[in-house]
Amino acid sequence: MTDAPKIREIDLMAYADGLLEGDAARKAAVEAHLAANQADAERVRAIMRDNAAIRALYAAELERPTPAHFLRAAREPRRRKRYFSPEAIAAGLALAFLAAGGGWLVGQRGGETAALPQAYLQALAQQHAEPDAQPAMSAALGQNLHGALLSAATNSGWIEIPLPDLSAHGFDLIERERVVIGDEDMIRLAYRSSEETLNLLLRVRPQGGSGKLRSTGMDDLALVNWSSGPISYALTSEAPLRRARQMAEMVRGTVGAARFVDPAPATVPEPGESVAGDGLLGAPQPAESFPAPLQPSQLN
Amino acid sequence: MSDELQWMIERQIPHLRRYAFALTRDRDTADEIVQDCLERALRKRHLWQRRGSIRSWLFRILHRQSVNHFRRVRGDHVPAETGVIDMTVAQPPDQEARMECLNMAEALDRLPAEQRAVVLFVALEGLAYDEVAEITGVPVGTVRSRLSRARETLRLSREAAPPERQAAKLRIVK
Repeated sequence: MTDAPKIREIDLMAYADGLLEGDAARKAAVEAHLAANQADAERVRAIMRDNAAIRALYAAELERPTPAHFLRAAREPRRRKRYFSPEAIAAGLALAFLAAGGGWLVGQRGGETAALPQAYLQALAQQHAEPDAQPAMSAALGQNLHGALLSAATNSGWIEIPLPDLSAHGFDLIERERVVIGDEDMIRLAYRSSEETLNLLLRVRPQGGSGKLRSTGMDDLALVNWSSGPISYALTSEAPLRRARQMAEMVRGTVGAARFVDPAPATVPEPGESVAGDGLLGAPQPAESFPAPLQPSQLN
Repeated sequence: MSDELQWMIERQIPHLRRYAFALTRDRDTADEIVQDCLERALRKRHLWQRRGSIRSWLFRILHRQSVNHFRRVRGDHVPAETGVIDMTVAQPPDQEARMECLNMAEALDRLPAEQRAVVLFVALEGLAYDEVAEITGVPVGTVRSRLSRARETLRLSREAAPPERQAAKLRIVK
């Protein structure tokens, strides 16, 4: 002989919501319980009445014809109208013509990692390039080095940049990779909080000095870039532009100063060297697992 | 996009529109949210890896869009105006049923947005609790507690309805 299952609140709610249809035994047990408990039976009836009233309230909605623009939205992306400030337009001009043929995406391996248009990466890579500059840098990200090591074009020195620690703002580093666009190298760092994701792209630039934040939008992507000393930073996010600028300020306040180191660390790979494996998610990786550079063909 | 995925998405559009309208009670806002949802789904289609139902995936996107919407408008309550209800919802066959609908619309409007969303997912769309948890990104226990609190509020709203509506309700319930 088996004991009748104990009927809990969740059983009553599930019964009222019609969620026990696939569990005949539990449904029968609930019905037996309700037959013996009038108060519970009345509560369940009230829930069923409310559910029926809600369905009746919006019963006609499913009968309405679907406008054509919804069907189009499900078939082809729409270019959104965006309104830029003069400052944003100035920042975005260099990107706009490239965006027309731009593809998407970097970082699909990360699942929820924010997307990046390849056109933006190309524009970013070329933004500060000098005509006679050779491959701008090699890059390494190493836990043991606590930062990124960048080789200048002349191989005459190395620049160390502390990886921005955004944990105080609720963002964890979830991915990092080397992105190669033509002859230009960049480092992409992806951070994620409980609600937002951001990409941070770093590259060496020949000029010094610092620049103010410049921002623009591309489709649903907010872009903010600035420079600090020998490094250009670019932040992308799917958050609204204003929020992206807040994130950029957050990053800017966290980034430590770049510094030259000498001699070059032994763990830095030669330019073009690739290491198998793309375990890019999770905790910072040792330099030995430095990711292979992403080729442009992988960016679409 | 594969024809199969496109076909599945298109089948869900009426449900997305119904939910969005029930949540916002504003046709234009609802359609805007659905439009954003569909565009986002199209862009993010690679993230749907044929695990789980397309319905859950789309509703998850829609839910996020609606959360963003309510965050923008800085309010999670919407008015239940009789005129709006009369013009937009199903026309019940008699006055008593109309009163019942009116009561329910007003009661739903008094719920905080996160409770209203859970009630609509369960009662209107017939989603299971774990599916709602996945869509809203909260534990199943939280879904249940929100549902319980929402239903208690609905019950109190019913009991607080004007006498003429209570009479109508009582006749319906017989």
